[in-house]
Amino acid sequence: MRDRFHKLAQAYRDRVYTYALYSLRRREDAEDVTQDVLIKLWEHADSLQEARVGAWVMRVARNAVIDAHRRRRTRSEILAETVDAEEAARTVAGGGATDGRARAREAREAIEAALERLAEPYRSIIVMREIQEMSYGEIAESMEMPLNTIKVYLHRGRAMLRAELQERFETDAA
Amino acid sequence: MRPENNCTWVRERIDPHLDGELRAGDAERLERHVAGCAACAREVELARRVVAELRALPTHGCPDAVVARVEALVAGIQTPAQGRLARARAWRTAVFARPAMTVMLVAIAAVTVFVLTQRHRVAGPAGERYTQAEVEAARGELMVAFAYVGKYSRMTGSILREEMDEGLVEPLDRAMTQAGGHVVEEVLVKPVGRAVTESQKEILETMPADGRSR
Repeated sequence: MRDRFHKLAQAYRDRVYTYALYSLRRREDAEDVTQDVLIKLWEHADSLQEARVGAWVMRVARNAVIDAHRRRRTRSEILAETVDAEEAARTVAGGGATDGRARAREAREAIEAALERLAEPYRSIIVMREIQEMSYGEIAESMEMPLNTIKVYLHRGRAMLRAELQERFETDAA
Repeated sequence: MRPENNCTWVRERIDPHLDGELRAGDAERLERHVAGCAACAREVELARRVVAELRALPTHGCPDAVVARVEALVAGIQTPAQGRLARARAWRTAVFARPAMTVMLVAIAAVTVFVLTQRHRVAGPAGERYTQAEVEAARGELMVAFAYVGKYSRMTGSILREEMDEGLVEPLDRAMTQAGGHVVEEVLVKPVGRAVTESQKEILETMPADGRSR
């Protein structure tokens, strides 16, 4: 059991951590989620079918991320997000940095922030598809949704990101 | 009006078009419209940029220390209760971060040790005795409950209630079933309940103004 767990942990540790980091944007929270998922993997390693491990791991990771988001929704977290949003707005209005590398970094930060604010299930689907390059089938199994629903939600999620980033990116282009 | 002359028709198909999912005829009609419509051209360009930025985001490697912590935690796991205990212990909040919590946990631990060392003298109202295995199983559930108490300093309100159901109330229920409700209730549940109520008040009263975890 230990050997199997070790192999599975090595195979999925980065995928879970990446997913948690883009969903939560804090390394400490992503590490907590990853720990929780890996411990659950230990408990179930012997009973998981090989072909379904990936989907199971991502399902558990998604539930852990949702729990972590819920725990954040205290008044102070909302206040912190409001401050971040205001700072972001000031950055957009002020034009931000002018050199290419700094603008690229700012664009990346803007899209990461927009992604973290995106509602479920759109955020999970976009992270799994666009960043982790999971297939539609894998995503459908992880999210326990029909494949066509995954495609529709992917497109809707992208549209939501465009709506949030439009001013930012059009300012860049100007 | 031909559908491809309608910007709404085009914009509904931008994402499937970027993914190569449009039929050939529709893809050509869309491209023809975009070539002649500045607004839709900007939409397509924005859509392409967002997708490109998303796909350029890097994947991240999980720190080795995280996996090492898990390996150390799971080394002793044999039962589902021990698994839940490991997950509770893995939580980053220091159990002894608050003096009141420390005092409460020490008191609970002292009571538990007293009860378990005196278990041969503890009997139910009908004189029933409990086997070592039953007491140990109940002890395991109670330790899960104690570990979850440490988690609670990061939670408030309705989230606390949900976590308490899983981490405290349910293990206590199981402990009472395993080692006798009368035994657990009189010497552990009531004192634990009073202590948790007091610590909840302390947590809510002393939560930092910005609510950020330390």
